Amino acid sequence: MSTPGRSSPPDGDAALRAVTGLAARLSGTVVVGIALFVLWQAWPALQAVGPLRFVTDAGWHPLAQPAQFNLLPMLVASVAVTLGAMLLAGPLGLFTAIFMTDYAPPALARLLRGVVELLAGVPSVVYGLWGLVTLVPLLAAWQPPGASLLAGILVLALMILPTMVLASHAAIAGVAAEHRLTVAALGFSCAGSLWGVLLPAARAGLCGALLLSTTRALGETMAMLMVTGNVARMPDSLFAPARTLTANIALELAYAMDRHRAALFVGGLLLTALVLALVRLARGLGCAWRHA
Amino acid sequence: MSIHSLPTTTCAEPVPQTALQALDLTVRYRGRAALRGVNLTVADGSVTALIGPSGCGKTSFLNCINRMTDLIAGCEVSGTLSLFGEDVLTDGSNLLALRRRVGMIFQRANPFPLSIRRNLDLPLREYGIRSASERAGRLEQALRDVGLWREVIDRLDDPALALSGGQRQRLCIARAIALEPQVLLMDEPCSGLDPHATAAIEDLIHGWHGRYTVLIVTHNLAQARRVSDHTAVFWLQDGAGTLVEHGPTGALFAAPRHPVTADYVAGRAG
Amino acid sequence: MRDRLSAVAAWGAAGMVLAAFAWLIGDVLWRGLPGLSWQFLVSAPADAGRAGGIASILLATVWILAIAIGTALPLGLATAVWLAEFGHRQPRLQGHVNHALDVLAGVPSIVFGLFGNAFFAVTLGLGFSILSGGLTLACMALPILVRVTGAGLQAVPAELRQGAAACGLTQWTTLSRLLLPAALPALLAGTLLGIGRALAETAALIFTSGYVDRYPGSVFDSARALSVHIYDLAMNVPGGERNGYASALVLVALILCINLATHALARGWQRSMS
Ligand SMILES: Nc1ncnc2c1ncn2[C@@H]1O[C@H](COP(=O)(O)OP(=O)(O)O)[C@@H](O)[C@H]1O
Ligand SMILES: [Mg+2]
Repeated sequence: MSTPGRSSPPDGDAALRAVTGLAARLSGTVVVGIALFVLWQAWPALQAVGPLRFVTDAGWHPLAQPAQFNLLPMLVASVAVTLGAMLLAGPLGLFTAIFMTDYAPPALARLLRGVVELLAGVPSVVYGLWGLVTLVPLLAAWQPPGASLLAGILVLALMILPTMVLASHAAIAGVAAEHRLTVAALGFSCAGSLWGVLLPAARAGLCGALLLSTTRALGETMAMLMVTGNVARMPDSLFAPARTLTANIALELAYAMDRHRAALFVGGLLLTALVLALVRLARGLGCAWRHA
Repeated sequence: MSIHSLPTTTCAEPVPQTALQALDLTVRYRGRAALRGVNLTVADGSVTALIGPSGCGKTSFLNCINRMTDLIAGCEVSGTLSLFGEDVLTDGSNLLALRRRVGMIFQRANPFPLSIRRNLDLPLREYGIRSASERAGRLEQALRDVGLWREVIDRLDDPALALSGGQRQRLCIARAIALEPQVLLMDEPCSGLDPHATAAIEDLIHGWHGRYTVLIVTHNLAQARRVSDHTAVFWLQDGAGTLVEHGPTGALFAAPRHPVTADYVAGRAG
Repeated sequence: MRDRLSAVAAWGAAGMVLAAFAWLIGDVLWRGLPGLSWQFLVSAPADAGRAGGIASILLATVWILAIAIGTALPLGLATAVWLAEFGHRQPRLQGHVNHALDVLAGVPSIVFGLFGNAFFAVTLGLGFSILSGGLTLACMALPILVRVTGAGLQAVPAELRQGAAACGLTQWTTLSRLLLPAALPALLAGTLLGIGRALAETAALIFTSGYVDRYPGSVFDSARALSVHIYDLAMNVPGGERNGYASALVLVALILCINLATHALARGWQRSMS
């Protein structure tokens, strides 16, 4: 009675492996497909206009005769709002994370965490709405026209703050658990342990938090579209209106034709390249990179 | 190289049938040898105790026999290993069939997070036993064999994870023997159990002489003497585990041939 | 001294975060509540959205989400299963797929919009439609679904896998009877997270599912998602702010519910794993 009977079909396992393997390949191909497709769409512009003119033309006048395709003002605006937002949100987020691990009474830490998680889920269009209706008029009363680089920086800083807080909190909490006892045993002061031990130990995670927030900021479209004024000119002050690369695409794709449309895809390509460079940088620096 | 020339395989009595034969078996993890050059022959129906200090490759050796090593990334097995004359290690061999002939009991009892009944029913069904009454019969027999039947008869549909440690381990044993394996691999099955549960399991093993071929890893030398008829001593040499001595349990404990064995069984090393 | 400074900075930062949060949420509540009513939820928009409600918008949103999750979930689940259960046999491919998914997670949403517009709407000829928008969102949600589901599968104790393998269970049985049930909360949490992300997305939808605010008749119709509706009311419709804020309130409330549900699941899951 010891014949183990018909073994259930290993065919089933082979099929499972084949089907999931196919799915994995497909999932892996999506990003390649997107990159190639955007490149393909951008190609006519890259070829007819040439890559150089995207930074040397007199300005962005895609419908003028002859058309001009300088993306530089938009690139500068994108980088400027991102840097500004990171300068605000970086320290603020880090200290909030420190507050949550080191200073907050547990109940307050929980409340703060809940608040930050909710903020992280708030759609960018809602941040944009708030910026447009509440923040921009305030700025306009002080330094017209209000819709400006500064408005973009402030809204963007608020938007990426939750990402920054959550990612740095994860990084610090991760090392705190293993180092806290040692540190306490050595009799370090609170700040001493923080700056001397915890933050250096959490370096990889913190750098990941910073770069993750940066990619989010760089790629933000809706909020920028709604508060920066969308003037495609090189911004000359914080209070000047500006147009980011992302907003440029959102504004013009609806009616762009032919070479103009292709030029917008060049903008998308540039954006993707920037984000990829950041991801690479993060990997190169050994940052603990965590999405979601 | 003929196995008869190997010192580790000398046996007093004639061997009825060979259940398991390892020749120059070597296990590497990410290129580092953890177990090197093991030659061991195990007779059908015998109980072999594997003893030796931690980290000398006993678990690795057991894992080769039902190819649990396949689950470990970076693990490579070389040499030959045959089970009743059939090669175990070649890629083409049927893994499921092999694991159905070789049951395994782990150090930490690992019942499925299902009901007690489903724990046995699921694998039985997998083995193609369609008839519910046959499955029920096997379930009862296996639970009776491990002495669990009386304890769980009125809660067969409760979660298996609600059982005590000793009961869980016996459930795992029942799960293994319900499938009527030829070989049972037990990796420190009693290390997490109290003396009472340990005695229950030792009694079980006693009853299996001649029925299953058992390989049991244990750190408890007294247990090795009680339950086994052969003992294999593993030791760390040059950073990798290896088999240093193998023989009938009584003789090995009374007159160890290898100096490390002598120290180990006398409690002076390991 | 340094202790003092750190403390002040930490309390100050946390205070500012809370204040900013209160301002943002307070603003949405204060301006959104007056426009919110049962009538608002069940009537169609009128006068370019200034009047009426968001019933057709909600319906369109549900359709778009259904397409997105319906596509991304099977694909993401299968991918996670392969990565967790079979990938180690092809480590190179596994590495490539993981890397590709990481990069995909970093692609800006407007680029998904560009791609969706060019590929689904133009090349595949789906036009501005629920299908185009849903499929674009599916691409976006894919990495989250794979990651969270994969984490759930990986968190299943190794002993369970070993036990199943040692019993000679097929991989199919192991997966369907043991691993997936154990990872189910993570699976649901991943799905909810994906829905949350998709719900918040605007830029990828403007040029794929479009602006039409009528009730959609089929997946080939253009339809306006809730987030796009908010954007349109704020930017393109003078006098649309009131309804824009009311819609924003609905959207934030929906996302809050999803967050809470995800948390409840994650907690239950951690408990069942320990
Ligand atoms: N999965 C693994 N990966 C890497 N090394 C392992 C793994 N399993 C065991 N080893 C190594 O192999 C050696 C033997 O381990 P093991 O077979 O578990 O010994 P024992 O069961 O005798 O304690 C140890 O040095 C251990 O570190
Ligand atoms: Mg061991």
